[in-house]
Amino acid sequence: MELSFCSKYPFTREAKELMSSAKVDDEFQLNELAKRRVVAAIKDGKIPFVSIELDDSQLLMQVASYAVSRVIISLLKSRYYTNRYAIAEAKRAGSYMQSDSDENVLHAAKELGVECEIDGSYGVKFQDYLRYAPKSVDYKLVNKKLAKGIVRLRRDGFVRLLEEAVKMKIESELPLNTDNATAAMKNAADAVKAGIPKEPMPINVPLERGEFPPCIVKLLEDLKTVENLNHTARWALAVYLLNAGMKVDDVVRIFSTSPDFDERVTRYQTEHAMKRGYKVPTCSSMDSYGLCVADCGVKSPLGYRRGRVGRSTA
Amino acid sequence: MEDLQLRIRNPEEEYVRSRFREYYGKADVKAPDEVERREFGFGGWERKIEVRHLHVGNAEELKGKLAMEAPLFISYSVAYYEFPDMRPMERKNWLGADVVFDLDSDHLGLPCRKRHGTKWVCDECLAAVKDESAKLIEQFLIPDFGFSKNEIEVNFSGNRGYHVHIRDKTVKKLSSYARREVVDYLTGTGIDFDSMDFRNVAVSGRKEKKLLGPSPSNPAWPGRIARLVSRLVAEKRLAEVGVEEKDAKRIYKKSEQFLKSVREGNWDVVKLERKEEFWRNVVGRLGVKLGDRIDQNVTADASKLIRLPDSLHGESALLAKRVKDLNSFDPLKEAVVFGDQPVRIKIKNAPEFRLGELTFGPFKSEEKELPEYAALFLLCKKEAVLWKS
Repeated sequence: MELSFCSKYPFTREAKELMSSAKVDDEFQLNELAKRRVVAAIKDGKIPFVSIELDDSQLLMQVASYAVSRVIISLLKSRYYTNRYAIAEAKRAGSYMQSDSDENVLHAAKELGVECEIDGSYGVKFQDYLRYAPKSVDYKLVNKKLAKGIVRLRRDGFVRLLEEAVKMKIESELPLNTDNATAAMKNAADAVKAGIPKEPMPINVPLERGEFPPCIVKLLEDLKTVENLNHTARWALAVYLLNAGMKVDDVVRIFSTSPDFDERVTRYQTEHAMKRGYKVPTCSSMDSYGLCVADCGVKSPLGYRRGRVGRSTA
Repeated sequence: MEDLQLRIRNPEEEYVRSRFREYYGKADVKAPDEVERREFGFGGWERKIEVRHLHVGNAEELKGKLAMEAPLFISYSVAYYEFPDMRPMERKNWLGADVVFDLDSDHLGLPCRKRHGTKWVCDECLAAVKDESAKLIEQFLIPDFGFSKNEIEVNFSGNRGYHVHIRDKTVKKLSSYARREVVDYLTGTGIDFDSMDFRNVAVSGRKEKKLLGPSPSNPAWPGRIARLVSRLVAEKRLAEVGVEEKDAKRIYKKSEQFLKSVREGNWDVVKLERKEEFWRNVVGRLGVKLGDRIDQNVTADASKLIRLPDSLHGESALLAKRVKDLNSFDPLKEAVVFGDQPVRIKIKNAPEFRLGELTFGPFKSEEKELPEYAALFLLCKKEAVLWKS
């Protein structure tokens, strides 16, 4: 069990200990595997999931490829790639957790600093919940079962939390010191660079910035500073930009700076929003989504653009 | 600090400060935890915070500063910083922050405000804000958030309300997003009616669906909705949550039946028009009242300054006293610290007010000799000047 645990959750202490004593013979294969891991993470946003039973040496190879991947990512020297990689690793761990035993999931959770008690459902401290839950309406604390400081979750909600914890852990540990990186690893990093899309440059929004209400400015900045926006925030931003007269292509281009950008999904959703003719959420809706950042005195973010500015409702 | 000292002061400020100075010379004002990591702000006659970004090295230094400067307001940061006196804020290096809730009678929308405005308080609004603080603690912080009584400290703000401090290390690192979420939880902002165990079910032989809902024993918000509504019905206080009189009467008429059926999760006993919308509106008003969106943002703000417990409030000359037992606490008595030697003042305008056992006023353009604590109270309200004959 231990080896398979480590291969599923290579960010754990067990996995690290395993690597410090284990020896991988086929260094060429190892570098190839690591290269593929990084390329898949950055290019596709996910690391291929191995569903077939692996033998011990293959499992060990999986763990080792994680270690080498981290060196490669560090050699790329890019916060954007690092974030994208961390997200893919988190999703990979999450898909294992979804069907793993409670014992294993709890053990991995503990390694991530998330304590959990199981009592029909998964109970986590509200502090951990607020730290790791996606910042979206679906996860608002007010609609969760909170008693004695514990939030009760189903397995999928709990795993979603842990994914975020994995992502944050990996991000916080990178970049590694690459002074001791082997020539083979450096070559692998070069090869990876050639095989992945270029890091998107921050895009200047083709509209006068001063026209945007503070909430939209904040969303645009969050996008640029490569923070991951939650679905509600993306949706609100896209709908706003569309309603402000921007073309689907331009909206997609703006979103391409986000580390978990997936062009296909973004384009589909933007076009969908366009087709459905979604209206810009009102200020009070923005507020309840947690997206309102100022008291502009307008009823809709679009109202701000039209120049009805500065009248306080208070 | 020099500029504060050099400014020419009016005789009233001079007098109030001299009394505050004497108080601080003798009083034992406790420094907050990790005083050296806090930012301090001192206020004067014109503004509640005139200087900020002050660093205080230890408890002794704080005492010395208070006795020497006699600020009219003393506040300190809920945050802990590596360099509390650096500016701008980013350079302070935020290390964490306490969670402090600010309950102000002015946030409650009480009818007495029409009578006395925001400058004055009365027993009515102080009782209401005390109730609201008790609600925050007993119905939310303890049962839902799991804090224990000794992790919760309450102190009178010195004027119109209470500050509820959470003294638990695990909340120090909460991000501003997390703090906002806690505030939304308390105020019931963003409650999704469908997540509150409300549901419409079809009943055979009836065209209209039946509304089922939470029962009082449910955990978290759903249970609280059932409990609070039941209480409001039993005590005939539905008007407080915006229920119109005709609807309220309809419910009161069947109140026993209503309470019994809510205990079983049936919310359909009393016939109401557009019942789902009706209950949605009620649910939306059951949270703790922490003021408007801006006040709430201040509560969630992890870098705000808050009144130092045991310090004097320059708008009332009352003490921001630590409260041992909220239930029996009488701010207008227990926060009075000055003596009763007579002081002669000219009063501009003041409604009737109570301090300690005595009631004063109302006053309008009159010269009076009042006990020092009451004279200071009016001087701080800027509704009186010293009367020198």
